[in-house]
Amino acid sequence: MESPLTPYVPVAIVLFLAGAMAAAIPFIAGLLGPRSPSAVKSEIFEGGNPPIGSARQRFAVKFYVVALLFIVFDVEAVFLYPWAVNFQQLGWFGYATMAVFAATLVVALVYVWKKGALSWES
Amino acid sequence: MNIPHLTFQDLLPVAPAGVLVVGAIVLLLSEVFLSTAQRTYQAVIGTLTALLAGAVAMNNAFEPARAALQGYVVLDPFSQWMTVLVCLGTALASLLSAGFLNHRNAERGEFYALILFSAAGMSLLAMSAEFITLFINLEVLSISTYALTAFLRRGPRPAEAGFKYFILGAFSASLLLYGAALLYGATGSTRFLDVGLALPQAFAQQPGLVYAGFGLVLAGFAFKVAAVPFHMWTPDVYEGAPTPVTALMSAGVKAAAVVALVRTFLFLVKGLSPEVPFIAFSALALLSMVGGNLLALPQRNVKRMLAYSSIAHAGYLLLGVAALFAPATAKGSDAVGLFTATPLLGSMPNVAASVYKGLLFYLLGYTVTALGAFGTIAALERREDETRSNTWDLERFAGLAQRKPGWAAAMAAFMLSLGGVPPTVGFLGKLYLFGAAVDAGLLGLAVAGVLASVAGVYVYLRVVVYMYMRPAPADAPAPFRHWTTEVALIASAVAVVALGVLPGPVTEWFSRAGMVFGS
Amino acid sequence: MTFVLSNPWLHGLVFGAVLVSVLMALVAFITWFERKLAGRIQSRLGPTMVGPFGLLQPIADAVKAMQKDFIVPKDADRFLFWLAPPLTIAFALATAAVIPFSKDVLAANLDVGVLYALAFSGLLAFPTWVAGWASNNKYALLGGMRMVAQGISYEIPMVMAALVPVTLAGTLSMQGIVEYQVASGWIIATPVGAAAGLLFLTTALAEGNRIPFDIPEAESELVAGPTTEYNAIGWSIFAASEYAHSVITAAIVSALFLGGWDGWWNLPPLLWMVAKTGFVFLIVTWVRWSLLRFRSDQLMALCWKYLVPGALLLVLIAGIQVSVRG
Repeated sequence: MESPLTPYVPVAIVLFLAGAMAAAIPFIAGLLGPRSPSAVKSEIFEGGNPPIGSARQRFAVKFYVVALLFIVFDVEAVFLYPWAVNFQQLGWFGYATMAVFAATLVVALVYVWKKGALSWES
Repeated sequence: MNIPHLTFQDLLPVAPAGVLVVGAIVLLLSEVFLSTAQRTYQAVIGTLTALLAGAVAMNNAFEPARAALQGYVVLDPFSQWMTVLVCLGTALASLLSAGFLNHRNAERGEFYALILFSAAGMSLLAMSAEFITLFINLEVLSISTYALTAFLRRGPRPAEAGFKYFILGAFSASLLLYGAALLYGATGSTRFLDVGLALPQAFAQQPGLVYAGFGLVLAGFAFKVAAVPFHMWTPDVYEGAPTPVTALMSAGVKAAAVVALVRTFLFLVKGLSPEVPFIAFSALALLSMVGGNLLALPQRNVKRMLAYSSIAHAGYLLLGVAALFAPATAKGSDAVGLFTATPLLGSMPNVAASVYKGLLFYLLGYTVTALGAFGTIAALERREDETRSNTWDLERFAGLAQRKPGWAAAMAAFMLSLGGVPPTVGFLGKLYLFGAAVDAGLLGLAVAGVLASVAGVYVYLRVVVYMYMRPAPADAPAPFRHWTTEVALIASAVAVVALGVLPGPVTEWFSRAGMVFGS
Repeated sequence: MTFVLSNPWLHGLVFGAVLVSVLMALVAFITWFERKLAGRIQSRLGPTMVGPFGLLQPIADAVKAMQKDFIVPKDADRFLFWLAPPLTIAFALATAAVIPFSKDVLAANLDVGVLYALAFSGLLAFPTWVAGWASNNKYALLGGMRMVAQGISYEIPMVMAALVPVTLAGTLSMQGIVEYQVASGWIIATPVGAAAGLLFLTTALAEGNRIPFDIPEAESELVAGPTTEYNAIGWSIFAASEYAHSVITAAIVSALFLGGWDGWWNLPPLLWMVAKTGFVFLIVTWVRWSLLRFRSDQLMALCWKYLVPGALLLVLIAGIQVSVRG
């Protein structure tokens, strides 16, 4: 019974219940609500005018830069977690190691900052 | 909890990579804080960093071989000499880049930083003794080179090259990773030492799993080494990349991948019947030697021709690897055991040692030669050529002997060295390598290699013929001048000839290089 | 009772059912609470007509929303358009699984609870993006893009701020962090903890797309952001999950920084936890109706130029504190 996955059984059940609840609401609403689609109803809202072109176009590159930065820094933040948990055993040596790791990240941040990747309006 | 104790001794093997990374960081910051128009100093920083790292590695190469960082990396002469070669190639490549990029208004600290990062990846790859370390360093090296390939991003050619390299490289890395995962499943460890110890039993129980892992890891490496039949990406990528980067890729990436391949497979074969790796490597070597040279024959595009030639050279290196796995050599090495912290010397110590010497010397020769050859091409390239279809056509070399006699002589030396004609370093490299193969009993393969390289000589001599015996076309563009390019070309040419005539202490150092596998 | 607590399946079923139903009921009540509070802040009365003090207003709203025609716009990706609202509410509810409401009232005591909570609350940006993309509407797409950019950017200082309690307590379990606070004092009582708590709350506002960080919805420029094309039950689910997310974030803040179910006067621990959560939620709501909205470039600059380095600094300070303490 005491497998390492035991604590995750309740999590799985909560996930299932949350999913069931989430699925049930639209389902019930679908039963209750009327269905009478029409061309005007399904028109896309664009300030009251007929929409111009498709919405799925090329997008400003700044959003993708943010996504790249996120990958770098979020992975780094997650790397800090195992360190934090074991930190009390690691002592100053562990602290110095992590300080070096953090310093390289600060360099990365300084680089992207000076490069202008963090300024959206320029 | 078991807290790892880290000492200075543990950091020693990774010190060259550390130097490279610090230099790369300095370059990155110099790019954002010092925005002067004149950026040749960046190439100088890059070169000096690489030379410093090379000196550190050379100092390490005389240390006694041992495992470090709990067996995740090893300090042995073979990997440290490889780091020296990589640093040498990096230094020459950054020098060549200065003029090349300056001419294109594309000098950026990021370029040199990426070169240094990729060199750090190569150095660490060569000393990895654990699958995850190996994979991470392979990615460090690969991702830097993907970015470098597409560095001159305007224009279709770099974009095509960058994308091909990225997609195929990621694919091959995933093959390697999947193979490593299968082997981990079979043996329960990622450390080479433990995998090797557990492998005989795992093979007895699940031979299919072990064979699948073996094949996938081999395919992943063969991609990086650019061995036939995993070479499809090579010509396009080498052609599209900035020429100094092509030089670094053909020399450094290949060198690091070959070392990692040897280290990985010398333990992976435990438990397998000895013929399997031997046949696999022999087949790869034969296909690459013959295929590379034959494919180079019809090429009029010199850069593309050199790409195929680099495939052929990968074949010669794999011939050396096959010699290590030849039944005679392998039996000898088992007597001492693969996992002791001594060089791999068995009852036939001379064979293994001469193979290592051959590999290292061959790589040294190929590094200086390829850097020089690609460097000459880079110097002849014009910025406005990039849209033309015949940028690197043989015609560009016509009459070079009259226009630039010095460069023509250097290029002739590089071509002869690539072909393996004395008195160049390429000849000595082939001599050592083929000699070691014959010692290991691979007479047939060695003969095939010699025959294939004879076909190659035609390709290289054709360039020499164009330089010396054809008149220059009327519209021949003047090569640009930049002192860094000249320094790099002179250094490579001198090295090619000097090492070919007087290898001096180098062969002595290399013949003492051995390999360890972590403990 | 002990049998129920020791059997993971029964335990999960009981606590999961209670958790999900209580949260859904709470969300309905909270919409009323927020509208009342907003009304008071703006010198209005808020809902008064349905039931005593307008208390039944949320039920009337829900019944109304369910009876409407759920319109899928032209050329929308029908599957994703339907999928997005249930995903948001499912992620919001799933986050609650690891929150300790008292010593025993806890659905799952994971040893990586903090990571689990942060992961699921961080996932919330993605259904919103799915909604924006599926709608085939320019406002919605822009809003979705902004949501992802903002959500992932603020995730980084959030994760680092949560690292401060983890470093101090030396565990990733939410219950473990609360127990550490019972033994050694609340984390908010230390200077570094107070700063980290404030930082966490700020980033949580941005993660939850609440004013002053509601750039993705910015009704003055983007109509209703990713939910522009949603009506009827689809829109209601988005609104409900936003509230659910806010409440759960308030609970996480209480557990990580405010001592969780720890309290005085022998009051039931559950009551303390609920009171603290309510207090944090009150702050969040008050902020919402008092402040103005940031501009999107200011938002990004605030995150990357101030909060990320600041959070990293806090982690290093917390490390020193632990090292000195020994």
